[in-house]
Amino acid sequence: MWAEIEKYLPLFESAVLNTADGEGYPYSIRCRPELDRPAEIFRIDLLGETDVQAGPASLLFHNHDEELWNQKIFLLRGRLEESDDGHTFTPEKFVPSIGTGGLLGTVHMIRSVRRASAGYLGRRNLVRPSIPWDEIEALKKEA
Amino acid sequence: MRDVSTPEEWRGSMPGHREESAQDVAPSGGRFALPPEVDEVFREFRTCEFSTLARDGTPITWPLITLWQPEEQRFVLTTSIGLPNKAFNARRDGRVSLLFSDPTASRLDDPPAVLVQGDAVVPEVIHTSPYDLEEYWQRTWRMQPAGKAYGSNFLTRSPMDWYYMRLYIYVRPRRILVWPGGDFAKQPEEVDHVG
Repeated sequence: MWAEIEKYLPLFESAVLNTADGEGYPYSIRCRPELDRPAEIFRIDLLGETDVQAGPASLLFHNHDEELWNQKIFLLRGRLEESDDGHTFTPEKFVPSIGTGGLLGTVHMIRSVRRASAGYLGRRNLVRPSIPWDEIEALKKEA
Repeated sequence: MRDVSTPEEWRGSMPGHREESAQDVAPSGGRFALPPEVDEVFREFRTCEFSTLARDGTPITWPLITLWQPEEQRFVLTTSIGLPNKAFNARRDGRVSLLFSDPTASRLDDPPAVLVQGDAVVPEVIHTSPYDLEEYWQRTWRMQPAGKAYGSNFLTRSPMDWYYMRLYIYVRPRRILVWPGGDFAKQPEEVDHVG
């Protein structure tokens, strides 16, 4: 996990910290987490007053270009803790996505989504639907 | 005619089907008095960071394209059945949020950041026609022209067919917080309801 984090972290200027608020709804804010590699944590300075709660949390790193392309995305699942020194996030799992899994990761993802879609249909005893490609191409031309 | 096995499951792709109505899809959160700059964020930001809750309570967050439908006071997001976890999460626990914090490509000058917390409903209908949510697909392809390549030629259609098998995620806002200038060091302002 740490090799991937160290590899991809420099690609991002900020991240989105996701926790839950007091009513259990997801609550997200953008922040600039600082990696403390020896301690294997991120230190997060929550600048303003927020409804962020310690507990299960995640950090999303993502960016894209002006045409919503060349995306790079990964998610860290973990826990947010609060102490006198501020907030720290301890990652427990690296979840790769577009642009952060390498070529093998891309191949794996395409195979995985095909399997997942087959599983989704299979569990509901549904036949794989045909796609109306003519409608898709017609609407693409309008766009 | 499309390949369907259960008309109820596939009514979304059948001629004459009854589309999910606002009443079907989520409890009303009331009407919000949206400041114009917040409305612009909903329309112009390319993605939001959409969070659902995993079984262990961890918010799982991914960037997604959204469609804001002001008349219905709801957002519509979609996901492929090949990436169904966010739909499974939202069906198990409808508490979700959308953070608009990345203004890249929006062409907005000093936009606020906006957090929408709301309640989601994910019907079982699997949509394959883009005309079921025409405005969403027009918006997607306008913002992401390279995305038109998905399934654009015969060779890629079979491997990419899952991309167009879509579940719709309807979100009714219950609370909207705004950070002017996208400055999270400031206290957020809560958007009032109308009336």
